[in-house]
Amino acid sequence: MWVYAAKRVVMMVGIMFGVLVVTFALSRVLPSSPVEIMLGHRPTPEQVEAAKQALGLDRPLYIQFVSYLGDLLRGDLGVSLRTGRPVLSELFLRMTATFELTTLAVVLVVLAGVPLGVLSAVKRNAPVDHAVRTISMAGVALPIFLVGMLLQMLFYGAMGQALPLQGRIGSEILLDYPFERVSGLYLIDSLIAGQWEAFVSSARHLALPVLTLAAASLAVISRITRNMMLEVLDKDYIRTAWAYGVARRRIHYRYALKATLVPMLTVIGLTYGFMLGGSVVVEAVFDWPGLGGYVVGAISRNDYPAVMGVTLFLATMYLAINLVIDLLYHAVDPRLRIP
Amino acid sequence: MSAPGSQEFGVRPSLGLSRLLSWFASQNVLLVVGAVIFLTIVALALLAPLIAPYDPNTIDFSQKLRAPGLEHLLGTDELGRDIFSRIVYGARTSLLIGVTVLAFSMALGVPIGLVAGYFGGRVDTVLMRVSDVFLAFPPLLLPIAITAMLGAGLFNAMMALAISWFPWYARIIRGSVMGVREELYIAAAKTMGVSAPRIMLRHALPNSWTPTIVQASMDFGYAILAAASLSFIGIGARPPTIEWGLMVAQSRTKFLDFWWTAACPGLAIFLTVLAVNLVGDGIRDLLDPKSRAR
Amino acid sequence: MRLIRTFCLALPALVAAYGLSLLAAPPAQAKTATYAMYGDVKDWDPSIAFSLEVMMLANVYEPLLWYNPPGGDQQFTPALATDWSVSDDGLTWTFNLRQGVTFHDGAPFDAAAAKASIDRTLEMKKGAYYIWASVEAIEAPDAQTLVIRTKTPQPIDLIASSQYGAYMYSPKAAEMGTDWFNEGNAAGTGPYTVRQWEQGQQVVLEKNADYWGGWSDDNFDRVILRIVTENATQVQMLKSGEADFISIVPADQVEQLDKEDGITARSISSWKNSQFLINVKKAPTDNTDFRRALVHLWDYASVVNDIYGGHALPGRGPIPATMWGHDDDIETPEFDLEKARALIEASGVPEAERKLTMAYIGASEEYKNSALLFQANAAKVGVEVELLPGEWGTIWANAKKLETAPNLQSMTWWPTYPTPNDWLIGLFRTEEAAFFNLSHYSNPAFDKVLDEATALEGSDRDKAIENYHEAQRILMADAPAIFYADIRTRVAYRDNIEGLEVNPAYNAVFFHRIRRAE
Repeated sequence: MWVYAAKRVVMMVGIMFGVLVVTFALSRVLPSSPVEIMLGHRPTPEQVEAAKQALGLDRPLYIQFVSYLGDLLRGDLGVSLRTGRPVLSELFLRMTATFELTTLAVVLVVLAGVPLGVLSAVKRNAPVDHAVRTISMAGVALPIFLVGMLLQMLFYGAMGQALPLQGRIGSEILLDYPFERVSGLYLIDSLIAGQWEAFVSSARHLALPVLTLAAASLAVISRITRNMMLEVLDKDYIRTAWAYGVARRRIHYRYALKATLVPMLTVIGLTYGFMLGGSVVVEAVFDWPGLGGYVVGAISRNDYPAVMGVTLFLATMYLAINLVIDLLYHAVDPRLRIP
Repeated sequence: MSAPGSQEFGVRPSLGLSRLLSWFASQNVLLVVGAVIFLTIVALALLAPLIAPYDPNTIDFSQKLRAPGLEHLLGTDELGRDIFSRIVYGARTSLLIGVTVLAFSMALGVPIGLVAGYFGGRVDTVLMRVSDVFLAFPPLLLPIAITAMLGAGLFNAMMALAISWFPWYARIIRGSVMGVREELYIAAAKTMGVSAPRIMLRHALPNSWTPTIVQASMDFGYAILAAASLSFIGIGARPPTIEWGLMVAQSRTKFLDFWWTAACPGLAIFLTVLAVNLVGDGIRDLLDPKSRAR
Repeated sequence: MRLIRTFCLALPALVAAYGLSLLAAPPAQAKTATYAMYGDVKDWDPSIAFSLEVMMLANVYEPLLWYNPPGGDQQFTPALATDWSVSDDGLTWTFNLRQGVTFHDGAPFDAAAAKASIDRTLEMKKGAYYIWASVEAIEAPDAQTLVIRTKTPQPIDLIASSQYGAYMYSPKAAEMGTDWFNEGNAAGTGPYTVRQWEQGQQVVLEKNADYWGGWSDDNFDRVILRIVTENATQVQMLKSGEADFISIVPADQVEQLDKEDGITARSISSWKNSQFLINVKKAPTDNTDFRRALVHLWDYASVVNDIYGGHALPGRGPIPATMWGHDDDIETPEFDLEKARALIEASGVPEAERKLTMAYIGASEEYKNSALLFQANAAKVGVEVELLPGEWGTIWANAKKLETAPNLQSMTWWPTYPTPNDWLIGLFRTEEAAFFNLSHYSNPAFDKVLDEATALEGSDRDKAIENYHEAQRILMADAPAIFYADIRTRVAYRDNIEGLEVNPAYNAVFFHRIRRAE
């Protein structure tokens, strides 16, 4: 087991290096000098020159790569061209926002999607099944940004501001009911500090973005659960249990569902990855101060250290999640001792 | 670079047309509906100049932001352009996106998969690790980074999507090639002097069409959605390209009062992707009965 | 099975409970104003900040003088300087400073602090430092007097009222440097202090109880500058009352917003103008007649009425008509296809070469729509226009080099401090290596007239104006640009806000001077 884990970690490091090369290459393929953007709307020629030299963009590419690697090893992801602050510290600030959003979305998707899929499989071809399948077909075809806009129209526009339009927490709440940032997750931190109003405000602000992000994945997960359940239900050992008169509920939950749990892990990993990508769109629609919003802002300003920093960071997180899931998979299922 | 045989694209000749049709009809109504919608959209796209009542680019301020009605079936946008015409022309863009992204993905993935599967060993490991790198990025992130660096625009966005998806096709091709390779060595031992690569191509590629088509039919819809998302956040299609995601993005400041500016292109995306997915499901059921959802 | 059924029943109950619990949102306080900013504050250092920071700066810091909106009898309102004078040769300015003012951190405001502020701005060479470029020395002979000596005569009073680079701040803060500022700290003399900065979310300003200008009961105690990057969201917040002011108002939304209950939306005069610079060194626009033809191909009325929603005026030359020194004899060129056609023929440019490239900032709806309209009109006289949208950084880099520059380049310009030469020098004076002179225009006669005007500005305003008029006439004849619109600033706010003043010199709301009627 540990040998396997070690092998996988080594492989991951190799892939990380590849990711580094790709992101570095991308950032140097810029058609124009990024200096023009970072200096604001009325720089003087001297300021432009000075900035170019400070960025060291005139050195040969391989030297730039080596120095970039050196910086990375020291934890220095560079400095944002727009704000002049270290990218790493800006990432940390925003990472917790994205983490709160995506984790809640994943939880919602699993809690709602899996039972729906099971229900659908168990009542195969009944009206319930058709309903769930139709909804999931529709869910997969809806663009995320449209879902977000529709929810805004409904819950803010039509229902008289039942839920907030944007942001993570109400402006006044932040002032009048402050709480210390322990984990960076507002829901948890506000509870720790005992600020109920802040908790409520955060929850309200989370509702629509989480729903939007969860919508598409919900469809996918329920579909996949359904298919996996169907496959398992068809297996010989299930049929045997059936023939022997084992209670239906027992068959469905103790045997069938358990068998799907392990492959389900991979699907959850994929879902998390999908959400990391989808969060970019959701954060744009809801002004969520997370990594997605950061990336979109950085792109429009040619802030290449910021874009590279976020890309590297998200890729690393994604790889790490997959590694963890892979190891879990391996540990849980004794049949999978892949050499 | 052109991959040998990658232009071949179709159902295996042994399945007769009448069998196909009767099988189709015996399937779920949904499938037929999906196929009909899809064919309608293809027709709209191909016949756009004949079907669109107005030129999609004509600016006419006197017709600004009209509600759907007799004169303008789906209303007009802020420049007075007819939305129905723009949606019809947008169908061309969306279908083009699907085809282009898939074509380039396969153009990259198939040769890589072939080479990796045939040579095996080190070459295989290296090639697969390289494609793993592209798989390591969460979906949409790599396309965002690529278009951010290369500049916005539909072409760059399509290339970016293709670059992030080719590994799937590489793996599929590699899998089948490796499967065939074992038999090949036995056969080659018996027949001397026959060019192994040619036999590989003749046997391995056709073997892998099924999973490739299944993957492609799922990716077509994703390609359209991904491109629309990229246009929405401003780094995909740019004006004057007519693209549905871009139309929704431009309607954001007005859609609360002029709902049709967002609803119509949004609906167009939804229907197209839905239809494509339904058809894709059907193709998958046809070619790979084991994975059929019963 | 039972499990699933229970779950399905529980879910709606949970949702209902969630919904009910969230109805209890605390009420907003009456003395808080909310402004929706389109981006976060980037530079907190008053010597460096050069962008939307002015919203914060103008409320937290003060300059020596405030420039008054045009039309009043006084040109300036004293701020930290109570009166001032200039020597006969125009080279020495003397300011008497206000007494009894302290900075937010307790340090006293005096001549030494004023001198330190300006010296530091000049030294750092960032942001708008160049407005002080002609300063030779600054002296503080006593705590109440500031003397500024310049190398050539300059309108130091105008410069000292600039919205960037002219704020007075505490020398103690200056010592702690830019990093201290960038943590969200401030030390000015203004009516508000910085209470909170939640990065990426909001900046909160709080009343400075010791402000020398005093307070009345209905002033705002708190100002929340909330960061809302999406325009659609800003508009929705304004409609719901969550925001009192918004910063992005699309031209075609002004009328609708104004009609809504509770909202006032209008445009106010500004010094911003938009033009398409024409590359005079690249074929076919290197031909003067051809350029003059392009000027007649622009549909000034449609652009201003339909694309800018009536919130702009057709351009009348290189500087806006609202700026002093504008030559009122200059009229907007006619949109006339026949005239254009005749000029194109006269230019001698062969048909095959009547092709142009037109670059503009892709994110701007107004540029994009104007360009599309121009493209359509140009096609009617056989001129093919290729549109090149992009982001500013790329476009600018391309436009600076002749090999990659387009024929037409979008440009929106506004002055750092109120003077005509900001446009004339910035955009059209000869540059060895093009910086903002993206027409690559170089006319020694023009340069000479302009330099004379600039030298006279501080001492003989009328003569300077004469020269400025001539400079404008030269540009109209040479046609290095299509001067297409004087932009009016669009504002939208809740209509129970009173006391809002229109001042083109400052892109900020002065919260101390407004209040909400109940």
